[in-house]
Amino acid sequence: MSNKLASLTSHDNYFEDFEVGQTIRHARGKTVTELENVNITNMVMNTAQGHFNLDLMQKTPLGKILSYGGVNFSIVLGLATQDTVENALAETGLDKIRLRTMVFHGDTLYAYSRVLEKRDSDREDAGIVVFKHWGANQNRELVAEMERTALIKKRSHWLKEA
Amino acid sequence: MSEFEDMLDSAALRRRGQGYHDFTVGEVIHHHWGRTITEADAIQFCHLTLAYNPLYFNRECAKALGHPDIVVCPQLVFNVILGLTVEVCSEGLGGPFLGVDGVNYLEPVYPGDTLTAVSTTEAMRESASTEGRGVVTWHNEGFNQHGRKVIEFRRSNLAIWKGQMGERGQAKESRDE
Repeated sequence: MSNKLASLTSHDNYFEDFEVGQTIRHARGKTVTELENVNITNMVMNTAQGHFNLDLMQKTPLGKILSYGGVNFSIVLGLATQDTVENALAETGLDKIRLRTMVFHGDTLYAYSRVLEKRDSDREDAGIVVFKHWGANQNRELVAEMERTALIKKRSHWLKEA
Repeated sequence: MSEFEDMLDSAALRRRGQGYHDFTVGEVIHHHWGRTITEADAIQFCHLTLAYNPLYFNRECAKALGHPDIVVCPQLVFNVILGLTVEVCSEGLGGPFLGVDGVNYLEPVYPGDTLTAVSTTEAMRESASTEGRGVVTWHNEGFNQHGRKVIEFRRSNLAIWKGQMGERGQAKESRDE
């Protein structure tokens, strides 16, 4: 079973593979459109219409729909997921989430991560890793920053070489 | 003027959202609606945000790890609980969502689970430098249908009640809702 499970995910992002201070630039970016902002804002019932009423926003100095911060930082976390928590048994928390720059439809987000801390957990087969994640837009501006804590599989227990 | 135009001009606006002075430190707010998370929600959110851990979209993988079903991507759980709090807590404040601290994912959520949100107003601070502005902080909790707490966090919003109230995006500091 371990081998079958192990074939589903990368082999270079187990607990042992992370080093404190290691900083990763993630390969993919994602352009925020109505598909992400309006869709997710409405699907989670965030009723703040600045995220889905263009007519209202055209009457403000911004002049356009503002992407919801929860969508923006979730995309940053998502862009970082494969390289950092693809082998997590659980994401246990987030902290210090700060939204720094407004995001509009058409802006592109990129993610960067750094390993802040590694420690053992109460289970032998997994350890805890704390990551710092940053989201940048196409103009290299900081859009959002946050920390994520995850319980990550140890290769010693989960990756049995064939 | 047509009957329709007359109606447009005379209909009473049913406002939603509440202002800074409607909050009281220590009050507990049980939010409206609740939300059953479906498998489609979980998969769509996970893929639109590129959250690639198969635990969130491969049922056999999740079962092999001891779960009864796929695990709902935790950021969807966060966003649903925050979403349920918006009408009362932040829709009427007119200011941006400043940040979130101490998000704890306490138990996995599975498709079919029904979530509800509760907020406790923890702090209110009027701006010393700008009249008509303040910050409200809430402790937010999300529960499943068994009454078990699945998430908790703390969030703050800027409130604007003088001059620019109600017009999203007019605050100079405006970043987000």
